[in-house]
Amino acid sequence: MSDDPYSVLGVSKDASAAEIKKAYRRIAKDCHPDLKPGDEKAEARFKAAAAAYDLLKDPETRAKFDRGEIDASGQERPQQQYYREYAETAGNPYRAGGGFEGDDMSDIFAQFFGNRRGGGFGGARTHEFHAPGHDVNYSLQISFLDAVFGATQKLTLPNGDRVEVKIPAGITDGQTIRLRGKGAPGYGEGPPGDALVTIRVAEHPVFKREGDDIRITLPITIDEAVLGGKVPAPTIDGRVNVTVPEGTSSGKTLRLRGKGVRKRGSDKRGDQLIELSVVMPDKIDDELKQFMQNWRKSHSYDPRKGMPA
Amino acid sequence: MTRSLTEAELIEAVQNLTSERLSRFLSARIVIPRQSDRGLVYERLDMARLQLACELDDQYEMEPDALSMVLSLIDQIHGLRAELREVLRAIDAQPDPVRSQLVERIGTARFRRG
Repeated sequence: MSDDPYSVLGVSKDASAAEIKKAYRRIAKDCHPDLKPGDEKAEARFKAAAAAYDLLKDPETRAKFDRGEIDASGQERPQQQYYREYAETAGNPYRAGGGFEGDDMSDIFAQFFGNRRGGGFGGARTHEFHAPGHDVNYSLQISFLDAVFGATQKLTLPNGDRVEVKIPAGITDGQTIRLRGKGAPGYGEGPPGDALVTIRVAEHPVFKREGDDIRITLPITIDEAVLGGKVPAPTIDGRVNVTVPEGTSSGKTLRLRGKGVRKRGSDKRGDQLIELSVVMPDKIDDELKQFMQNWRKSHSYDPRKGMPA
Repeated sequence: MTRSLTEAELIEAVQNLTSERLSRFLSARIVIPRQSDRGLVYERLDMARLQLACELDDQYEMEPDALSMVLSLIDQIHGLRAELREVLRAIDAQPDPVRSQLVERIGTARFRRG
């Protein structure tokens, strides 16, 4: 196989970045070892294409290569673990169960052996069929703050067993937790399946999640907006006072660092974003009306300057 | 058996996996961690699966749900291959006349269609 990354990808020397990406995607689609298990030619082609793409996708390294400062071989990818090395093993938990419940391939076996036992062979009992039990899906609704801080919840299984589900801090809506061995009993001497508990996080009236950040909308009065000052604001840790700057318009957003949700695999936390929203008093009284009428006469301003008519 | 990984170890071990990306993948059930005494843990298989998910994501910029669907199709193909291999092994272990009959039968079914 050629060492020249351009011919590996089948593009010309002056191909655009988009053309290079497209060529790589096409080869990846046809040859990725996890999509074409067992095809060694495809694997070799994919590896060469991946190395070539690594070299050419970054304009700087591409320019270096074009100038002859580096050669194509110096860009070997680190040794990679391919999924297919695991995917076919009997213990792959994603094969049975998951999204296509009742439709996994073991059912073909189960049906086949089941029918035979049923009597096709004049009562001559064939060997028992052994296979792991099905995974069983459950859904567990938790509060917004339990998702933020973590919690332990009890789940009652159909057989009456109560199991503890430990919810880690920062869990997101839709995440699923595997409880090993708490699913359906196995076929024959097969082990039981797992319970898959999908966490549903209820909405909070004030706090909204945006990744690891939390966003709230904080109403302020017109005098706070004009004069500025300290205003109390809720956070997930309790109330804090935030400083509203003088002359604040609706939509201005303040950021409280470290007041968000714990980041996955780390002790750091996201931020809390506070969007300020100026709210008029319930009733516009005569005093305010008169003041505004006078003020307008000598202080007119145009916040819509530059907008199309 | 090798030790399972914590979330921090996992992010460290898988190329191009970030905390935000893992969150998105988890919401789409691309991997399902297991509850253990050490909190949620991930197996070597999850690691390789996430590596593949990151690559597909980099290559095709897929919606996590679409990615999850693609992975489940890949799982089904792998499952099918493993089970087909079992069947072939069983055929191979049969006495010669049975085996040639099966081979003939399968050949006919495959090639006389249409």
